[in-house]
Amino acid sequence: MDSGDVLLDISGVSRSFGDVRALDDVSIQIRENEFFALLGPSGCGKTTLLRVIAGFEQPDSGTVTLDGVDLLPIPPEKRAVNLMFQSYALFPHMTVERNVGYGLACERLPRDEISSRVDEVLTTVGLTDKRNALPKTLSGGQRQRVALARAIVKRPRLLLLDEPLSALDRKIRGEMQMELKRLQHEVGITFVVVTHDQDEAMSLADRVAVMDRGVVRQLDTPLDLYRRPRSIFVADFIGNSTILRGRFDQGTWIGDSAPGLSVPDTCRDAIALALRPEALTIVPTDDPRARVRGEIVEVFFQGDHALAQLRADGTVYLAVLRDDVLPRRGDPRGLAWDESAPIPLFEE
Amino acid sequence: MMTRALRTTPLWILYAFLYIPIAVVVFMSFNASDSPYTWTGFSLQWYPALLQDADIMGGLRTTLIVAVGTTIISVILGTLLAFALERYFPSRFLDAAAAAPAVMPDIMLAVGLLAFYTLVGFTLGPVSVILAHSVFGIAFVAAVVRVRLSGLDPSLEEASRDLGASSLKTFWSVTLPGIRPAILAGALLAFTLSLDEFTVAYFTASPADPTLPIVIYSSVRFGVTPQVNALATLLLLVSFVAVLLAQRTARLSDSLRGRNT
Ligand SMILES: Nc1ncnc2c1ncn2[C@@H]1O[C@H](COP(=O)(O)OP(=O)(O)OP(=O)(O)O)[C@@H](O)[C@H]1O
Ligand SMILES: [Mg+2]
Repeated sequence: MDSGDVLLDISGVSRSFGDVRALDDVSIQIRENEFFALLGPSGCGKTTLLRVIAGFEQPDSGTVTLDGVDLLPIPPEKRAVNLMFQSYALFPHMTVERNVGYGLACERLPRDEISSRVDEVLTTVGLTDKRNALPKTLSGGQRQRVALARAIVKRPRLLLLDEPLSALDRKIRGEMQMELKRLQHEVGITFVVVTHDQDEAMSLADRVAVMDRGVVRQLDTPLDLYRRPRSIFVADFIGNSTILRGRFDQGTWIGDSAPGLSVPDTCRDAIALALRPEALTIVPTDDPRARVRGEIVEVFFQGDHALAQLRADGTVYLAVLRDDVLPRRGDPRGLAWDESAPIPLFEE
Repeated sequence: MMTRALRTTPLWILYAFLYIPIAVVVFMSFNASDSPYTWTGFSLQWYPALLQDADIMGGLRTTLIVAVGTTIISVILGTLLAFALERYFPSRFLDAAAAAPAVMPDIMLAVGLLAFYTLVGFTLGPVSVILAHSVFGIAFVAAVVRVRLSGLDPSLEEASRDLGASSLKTFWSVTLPGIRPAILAGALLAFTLSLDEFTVAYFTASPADPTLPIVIYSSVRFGVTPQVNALATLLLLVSFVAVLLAQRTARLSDSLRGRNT
């Protein structure tokens, strides 16, 4: 990446709480106008990283720059960054309107400009009829939208959103996702969104950093994360896959299961292989293409497609079913896949 | 039904024990006779008579000055103390030191303060009583405000700063409204405690300028006068209103706290 369009540069940032290494040598560069997602299981340090960027946590080591300016000595109120808190942190004694207008009032903008901009974002999040309500009278999803409105109304250079859509139901969540994308394009805000919902990260983000116990395990576009995970952790975390541990030996894969699979040379240094369900085809046991043979364990109907679990040599494979006739539990079947289908994984 | 009545009986006996003396005082304050023990007819004469009584009016004036002064000092210093203990110097020893005046026997505090005033040559008067009362007033306010402060969601203040508010603006717009109910409750507590405090005031007030409880004490030593009954009734009314107010603020604080915030 050429460094010209880097907006936020996080470099070698570590932060420990006692024995817990919440951030362990994290380096991420976020580009101007990018929609960036931080994805990872609970407790992996996502919130801590946002708090470092917003200024509520000082790293033990490392640097953070925004537009090339060192951010760390600047207090939170002077940073051109806004954070939407995971707990919303709405001011309980202020109405929705005053909550949203608070940041603008701090800038000492004229009263009518404040009210017109507040109107605008309340329309965006669909809460104009709640403008005079107190936060405690709102539902969880409505509070989340107020918190979002309060964060976007200031049009910061960089907007940090901590699980912004987790409390919304599916339909509103979809609408808000579109709204966030629209804001990104129209207002030109750079987004860093924390989520532990992989579908959200995959559908919204330009790039995703997958974190695990304070470490960035992989940083890529959603497509590359899915197609080329580097570690067992990422392959497991993003999408479904069947993991075959083992080692490469002269063109074949030696593992506890599926002995003697032939694999390409790209798997030479791998410690495991990942097989995506859609790369696997379920075939009759006598089909010559079948690489392994076993029996169906379970079938999951998912609406537009179905998934089947097949046990062969002690490994349970997950495959997409393409036939209209679903196999039944206990049916003998084989599995076929392209020579290039196994994804080599090089780390745990 | 029977068992329920049996179970509540002790409660009624307790209430009777508590409230019959008070009822007698209120009742006798409307007595026409100036003997405190025999009822001769209804009269409101003792209430205006209070206003004529120079000792009582002087005592009331001093008491109000002391109570207001105590409240102001206690609220300001107590709130600061609460902040210091909660945010800046969390320490068990300091906690205990801060709470001690609230639980220390009054007589110890009284003797100690008198000795101290004498030692440094401080003239006794309303100011010496105010300072004395503030010793425990601060402890009470600090205790009440602290509980509230520790329950305050720290992300509220962070959100305020994140939105561009200075520390001062954050304090005024977010922290203070959050702890206001506790400050009001603490103020009410300090005010009412100072209003009827006897022991410490007795030791630290100037004999020329006694507080109301001291005036009452001196006058009832030679028997209860009907004025005192009338005065007690008025004071009762005041504390009743104070309790109601305190409950209201408490309810208000609960409703402000909301469900999730
Ligand atoms: N102030 C703190 N004091 C002590 N430990 C902390 C503190 N803040 C975070 N941690 C620890 O650091 C680790 C990372 O926490 P963090 O809140 O960043 O996780 P997260 O990825 O946001 O998780 P979630 O998805 O559950 O919100 C956790 O183990 C947490 O217990
Ligand atoms: Mg978090």
